[in-house]
Amino acid sequence: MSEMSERLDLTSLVAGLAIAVIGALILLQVEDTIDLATGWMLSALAAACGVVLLASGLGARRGGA
Amino acid sequence: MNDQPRKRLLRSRDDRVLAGVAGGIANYLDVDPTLVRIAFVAATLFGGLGIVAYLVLAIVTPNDDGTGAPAGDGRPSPWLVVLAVLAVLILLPGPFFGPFLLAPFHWGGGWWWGGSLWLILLAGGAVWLFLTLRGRDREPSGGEPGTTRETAAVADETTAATFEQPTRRLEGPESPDRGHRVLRAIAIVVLVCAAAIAALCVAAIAAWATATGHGAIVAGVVIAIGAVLAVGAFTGEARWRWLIAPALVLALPAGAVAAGDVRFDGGIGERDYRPTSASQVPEDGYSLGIGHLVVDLRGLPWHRDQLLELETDMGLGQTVISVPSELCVQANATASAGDVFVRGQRSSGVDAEVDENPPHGRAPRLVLDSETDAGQIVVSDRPPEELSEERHGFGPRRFDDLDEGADEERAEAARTCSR
Repeated sequence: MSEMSERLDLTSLVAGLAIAVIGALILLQVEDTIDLATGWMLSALAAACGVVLLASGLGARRGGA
Repeated sequence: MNDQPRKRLLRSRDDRVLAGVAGGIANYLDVDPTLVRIAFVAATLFGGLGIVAYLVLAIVTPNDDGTGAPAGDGRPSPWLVVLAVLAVLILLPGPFFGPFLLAPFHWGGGWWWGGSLWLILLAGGAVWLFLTLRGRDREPSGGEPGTTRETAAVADETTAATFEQPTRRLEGPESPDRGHRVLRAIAIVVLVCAAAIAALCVAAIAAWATATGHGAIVAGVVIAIGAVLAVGAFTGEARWRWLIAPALVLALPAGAVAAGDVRFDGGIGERDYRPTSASQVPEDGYSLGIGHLVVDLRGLPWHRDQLLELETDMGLGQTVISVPSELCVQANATASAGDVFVRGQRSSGVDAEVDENPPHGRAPRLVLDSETDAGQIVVSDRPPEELSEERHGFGPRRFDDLDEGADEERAEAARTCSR
């Protein structure tokens, strides 16, 4: 278990999940399943970028320690 | 001799998430670094101040070498200088720069972030790029370059002057890697420019595909990249990280276009409609994908108690509706991004909307339902030529002359409707 967590690349995992969620939101929006206002969608995109940045920073810190 | 060295504000080497500014401040003030980071995030929510403050501090504050002394030559990284200048230019409000520099992005409005969101995203992307490059630079050296050079300088020099001003030696002609660093910096700048151009092209393609009804394909590609990243994370290797950039380049424009419901399927160009009777106004209204749409209703014969419904739908561009001054306008006009100006009422920014429902009188009434995905909607009793000329741009002065007469126009509109 600990070996797996050591092998886990946190940045890729978090970025992958965030990007998949954003992709799903876009898909639902273009298919008219949901109706997000522009502000909400842009905020979600900004939040995804922020999460990726945080994961990148935390991953670099963990790797450097 | 035994004087305690003065405590200096340095960027922390060991406690850093981005550039070590918060860790350094926390160490200097002897407080929890998390509190300092929360303060930066909170300040960022107030117009991006936290980002500017962080970048400025990252420039003026030298790195800690691990012993509480400044590392390297104490000079700021050129990357940080460029980023800070860009961030300040981007995040400060438009009036600091006049109508030109940031005119295309001056979509202020009631929500400050509504106008700056794109720019903050750009700044965030630039910071991310900087961190990525810096991380690569560090990997092969295997240590703090500043510390190594400083040690070498101390070994070569036996005088006390070296200890007092060790950094001056680093700037001398004997510094072996200075030229190499300059060349590498130039190469990186060129590569970044090329990558930026490529990214813009991909982003434009993604936006266009989404606006023309192929958004599901773009979304599918984004989801697939996310899945590859997430699965690849369990291999423990960072080889898939490069996919983050193209995924964001695809997702950002596609998401914005999808949320704005931008559709380019109504044609492109100039459309000028000047109906002379109510029957000439189509029931489903006027629509245009990209361009300039003019609807001049001043030539219609209007009479008391008359009611006319009008719909307009614009993808990207300007919609101008000219109405006679004796007409009462009941309007619901929305722009996913841009400006809406309806007889003295104005709304700008993201999800701009003017919803005007004046009291009913006997004056002829126009019930207007106007939408634009990105651009402007202008409803006024002025001739279209006055409203259209020099108003295709998105500069902050675009509504100056309309704003000047806005109060009078609003008052006149209210009087007209109550008659």
